[in-house]
Amino acid sequence: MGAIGVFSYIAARYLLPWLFRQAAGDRETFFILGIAWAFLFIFASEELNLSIEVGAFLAGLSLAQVQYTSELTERVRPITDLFMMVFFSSIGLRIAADELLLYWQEAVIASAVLMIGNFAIMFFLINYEDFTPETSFLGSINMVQVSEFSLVVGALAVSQGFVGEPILGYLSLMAILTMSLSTYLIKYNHQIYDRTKPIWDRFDSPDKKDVELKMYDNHAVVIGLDEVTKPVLPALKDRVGDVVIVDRNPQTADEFADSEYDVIYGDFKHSELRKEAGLKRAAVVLSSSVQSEINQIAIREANDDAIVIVEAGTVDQALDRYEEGAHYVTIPTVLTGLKIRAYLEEYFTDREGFFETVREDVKRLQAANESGSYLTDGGKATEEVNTDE
Amino acid sequence: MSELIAPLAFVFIGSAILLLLVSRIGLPAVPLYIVVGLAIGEFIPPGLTLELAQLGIAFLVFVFGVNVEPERFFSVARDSEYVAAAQLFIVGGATFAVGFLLGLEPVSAAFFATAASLSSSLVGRKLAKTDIRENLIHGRLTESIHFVQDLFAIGIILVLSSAVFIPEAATTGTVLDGVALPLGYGVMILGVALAIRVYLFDFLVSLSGDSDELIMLTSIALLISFLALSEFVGVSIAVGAFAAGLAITRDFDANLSLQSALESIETFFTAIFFVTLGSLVAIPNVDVVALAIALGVSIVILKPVVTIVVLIREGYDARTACLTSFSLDQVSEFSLILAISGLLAGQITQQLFEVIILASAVTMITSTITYQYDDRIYRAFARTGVFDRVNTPNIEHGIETAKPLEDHVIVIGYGKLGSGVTAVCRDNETTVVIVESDPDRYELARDFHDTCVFGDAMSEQTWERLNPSAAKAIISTSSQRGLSSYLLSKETDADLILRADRIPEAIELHNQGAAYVTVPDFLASEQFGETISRLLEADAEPTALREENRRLLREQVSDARIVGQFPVDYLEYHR
Repeated sequence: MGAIGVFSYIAARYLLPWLFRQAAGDRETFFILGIAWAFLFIFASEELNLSIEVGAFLAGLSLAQVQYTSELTERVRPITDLFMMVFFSSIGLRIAADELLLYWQEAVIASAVLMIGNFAIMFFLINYEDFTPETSFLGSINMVQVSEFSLVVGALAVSQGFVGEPILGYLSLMAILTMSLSTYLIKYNHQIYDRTKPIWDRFDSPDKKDVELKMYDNHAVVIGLDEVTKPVLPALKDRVGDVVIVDRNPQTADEFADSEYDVIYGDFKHSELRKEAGLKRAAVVLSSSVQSEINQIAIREANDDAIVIVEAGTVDQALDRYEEGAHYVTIPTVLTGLKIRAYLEEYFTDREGFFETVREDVKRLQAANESGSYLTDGGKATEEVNTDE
Repeated sequence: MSELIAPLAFVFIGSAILLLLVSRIGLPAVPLYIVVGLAIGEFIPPGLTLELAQLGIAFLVFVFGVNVEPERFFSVARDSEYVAAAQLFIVGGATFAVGFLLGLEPVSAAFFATAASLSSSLVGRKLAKTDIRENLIHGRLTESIHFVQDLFAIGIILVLSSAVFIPEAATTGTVLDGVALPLGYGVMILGVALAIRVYLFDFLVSLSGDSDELIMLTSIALLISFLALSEFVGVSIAVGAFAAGLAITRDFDANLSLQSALESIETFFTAIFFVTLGSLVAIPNVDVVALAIALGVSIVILKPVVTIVVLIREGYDARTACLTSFSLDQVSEFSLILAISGLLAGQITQQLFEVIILASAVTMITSTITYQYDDRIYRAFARTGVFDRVNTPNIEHGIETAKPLEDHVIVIGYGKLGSGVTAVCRDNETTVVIVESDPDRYELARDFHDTCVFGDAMSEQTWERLNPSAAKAIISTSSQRGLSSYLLSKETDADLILRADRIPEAIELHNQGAAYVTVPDFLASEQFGETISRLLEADAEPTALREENRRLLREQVSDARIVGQFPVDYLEYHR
């Protein structure tokens, strides 16, 4: 197991980033690679007669070190959900009703001890780190349930013959009890805190304070970068502040890795990524996608005060977006059309002047080419990535 | 559980390695999976793989069903149903005869023929992705033909899977009962699915609140219920899976998350299904190879010929017909589903099964090749003169009668850019000839302008009518590289204004002699930057901004003289 762990660590440092960079341009390869990586570890653990659960965990651990993790997590989540349903239902199926209830008194007592004990220990630990009582309270009350891993471990123990089915039933009953109770505790955690505030205030002291985690607020969210939106980044930074780019083009992630812009590699369709980018708190949302679905989400989820700017492929779509609440809808071909119209007018009225303009224009193109723009990468990768339109 | 780990590990590790190796070439994944399967066949125990393959079928057909929108059928189908039907009957009929002559039983020959006549949308859509996105006419045709064929495939699966029950029925009752009963059940299941789609699904979504996970699990639960139902009444699980997909509409707020969830599930099971399929093939003997070759010939040669003839008869030009046919020359994944259901039900022999799998792996790869060289293949054929009779472009309105074309501007393509360009030329009192190969846009062009040529801009016959040597300018609004090179090779003094989507290409074309090369995104970005700055600085209320911009859009569209974007009366003064 140690060897697998070491391999996992080394791979995460040297092999995986390279592998995923190769695959990131193609959605299918990217996904299959992630799954294959997990199976590599699971299979190796099985062949070596080790726990496949730990093997899978180590595979996940090494994947977590890659910059494409959040996108991979979102892509794999449906599969996880599917198998989680199968796993937990199968645990349920293995336990007869009498086995579930065989140790019910013990389960109730253990649940009570666990919930109170867990809360007290967590509260003590967080409080000890000098967080405010509110943080300590909320942090602890959110953790008063049994972990799903206790069921994984329980199932493993049954299959290895260490314990009998009734013990698994006892664990399951605890999980059912604590998980259902904690749902309500978490849902009403702020209310409970307000009601019981006097108790927790006793732990307060002047040197207690919360460490502020970086949270985007009143920032700009840019969905996908292309040649139309890229030049406006400095203006956004200047006038709005933080700029978060959500893009599923791996080149964007690489290009802006050390810049003043934050990049989230992944597909805007995943709600977790939208949360990570703080879409709901953004002051400006700028989308360079022409996919109606993406833009509709951006418009719907953005704050009412936010300015939403999206792209559209056709005038019909543009009018629909305005109807839905976009503040500005750009149609690149219309903008281009205006420019070309001006050029052609010149061509017909003043041919020499036209060629002069063209020379200027080609110079600008060359400058853009040398500065390395999106339209210069020779193609394949970007095309692959932006294809769903 | 543990007996599944090794096979799945082989499936995914093998696929990942091969996909990574060929990621530069752009091969579609499906044939690669089959190749992986062929290679790792002996590591996968056969009984287990059949179970896996059935799961794969269920999920693949399910995802296809989700993406089918019955409401859209008529707008998408249009011409395609003829082409799809022609393929089915002509190619299918011919291959059925060949199979029968080669000694196959009628039911086996039917499977054989189905494999030849249906094309793979998983492969075809991946190949033609760029064409579809750029809304090129052959891309659109490819997409819709695949769609219609997939629907046919579901029907065929329904019928052929019913035939499974003939032997049983023959002992207990009439043969007709044996077929009719499952068929009736199948139709009933589809009916139930439609009822759920219309009346129940929205309610289920509202129950699941905003939870992505619950919506996905609801969908999976629907799938499992329909699978159980079809198993219970004795219909193919493919029909149940399709019905389950049909029960799910895509038309609700959280559908994006469902779509991306289904995408993951589809990718996962696509790999499992096709690798398993490949793994079921042993080392082929002579008979298998001979039959596979017969099947391959009918797919690679007969099918494209039929497609081309039918499309030309429908009024498309030869190039469009050829390019479309080159993305249809492979075996459909539905034929593979049929083959495996047939094998499981004992309707076809292991031998025929191997023939179909082999032919599909090979044709899916050759299809990639014909697609990549489609233009060259077309041209090679065009040089032999086979298309001469059909390729005469229609010259409409006046070219023949008016004075010979001189000092005119040739505009290629009548999309947003093309219509704007045409308007400017006419404002400057220059004669314009529009070349367009998309029938819809051609009609639009004719509504607004006199001189239009319907035909492909890369065919000599079209150019003979355009008198390029006397033209003042040739303006191409298409960014196809092949077309740009073709235009540069024309001998003419006309100024060439081309379009490119990428800057290096634009600079290259300019250096090769183009007077100007437009890069739409580059030009648009300059305009866009100004607008954004104005927006960010504006003190106005967001709602006021919105109204202002909406008004501006209308102005811009009419300034750029883009037709076909607003109702005709809005642009009345353009005429």
